[in-house]
Amino acid sequence: MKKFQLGEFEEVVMLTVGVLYDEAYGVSIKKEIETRLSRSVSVGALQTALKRLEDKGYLKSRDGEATEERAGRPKKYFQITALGKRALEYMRSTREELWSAIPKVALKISYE
Amino acid sequence: MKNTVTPPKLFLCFFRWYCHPKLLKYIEGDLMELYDERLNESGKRKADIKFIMDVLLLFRPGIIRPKENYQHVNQYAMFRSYFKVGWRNLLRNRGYSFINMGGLAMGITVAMLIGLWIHDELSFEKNTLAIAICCLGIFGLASFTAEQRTKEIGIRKVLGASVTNLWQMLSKDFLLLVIFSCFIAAPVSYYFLQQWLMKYEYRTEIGVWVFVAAASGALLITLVTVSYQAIKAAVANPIRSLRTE
Repeated sequence: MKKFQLGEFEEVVMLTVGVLYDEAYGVSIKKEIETRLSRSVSVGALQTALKRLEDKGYLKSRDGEATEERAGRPKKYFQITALGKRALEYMRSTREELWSAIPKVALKISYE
Repeated sequence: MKNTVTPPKLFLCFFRWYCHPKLLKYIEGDLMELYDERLNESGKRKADIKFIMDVLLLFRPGIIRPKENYQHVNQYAMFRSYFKVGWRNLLRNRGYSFINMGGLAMGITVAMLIGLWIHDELSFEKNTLAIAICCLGIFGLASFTAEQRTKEIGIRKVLGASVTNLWQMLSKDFLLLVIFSCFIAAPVSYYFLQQWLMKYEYRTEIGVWVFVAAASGALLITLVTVSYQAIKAAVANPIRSLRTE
């Protein structure tokens, strides 16, 4: 029984949208993830994730300004919705529950 | 225009062709911005290659535009509402639909009985005749209804209903009618046959196939006759039916 559907990459994208707060649009999200997590993100993967998140109602978007380097195309700024916030909190609390449930011995792994 | 360097035209066109129209301008903007940046960073060749990679990696479900005029989702809803309307029609004219259904059920029962009888006598399938008798009844009913509703068909046609629409409209009532009749007819004929076969010491089994064959035959014939009537009524010039009072 999953209350919120959120994949790993989607979670990363949502958190990054939160980090960027008012400046979250395609290119900036991509760069932020690339620099912070040092993993490469393709435009395709990012855009599908954003679309899925918007369809689920976790993100909302508004049109931004059209600048010259974008050849007159507008930006699409994203923002986390209340439902998205709940989803993130749910993810976090389940993870923390799991972490706290691990007995200490299990993580006492000695590297030989 | 500040920069005269543009990304590879072919791939840009390809992207514009497949991209979902709602997302197109935003993603194109992102691509342009990235291209511009990469151009300043590492030269045209690398920027071109990266642009092409991006375009190819964007080619995935969710971003590809949905197929134009695909309708099957809608079609189901339409059939559902058609059947709902047909059902309500049956309920509204309770008396008539009861008579119709009873008559049809009797017809199909008789058809099944005759079919089984002939099968018993000749030991090979020959219930086409019986179904032909039964279909005469359906044919008459269909033409009667179509006749009754010529005005409605005319008005609908004038308002822009297609032949398919009209055909569906007329067939839905009949389909419901025949389906219900089959459900009524099957146990009745089964009962009578059982009674009748009791008399014989050596008797054939009543196969399920008889009922299935009779039901599907009745459905098929209904569809064909109703289609014939409906299309005849629908193709006719609506002025004819509307002018005469």
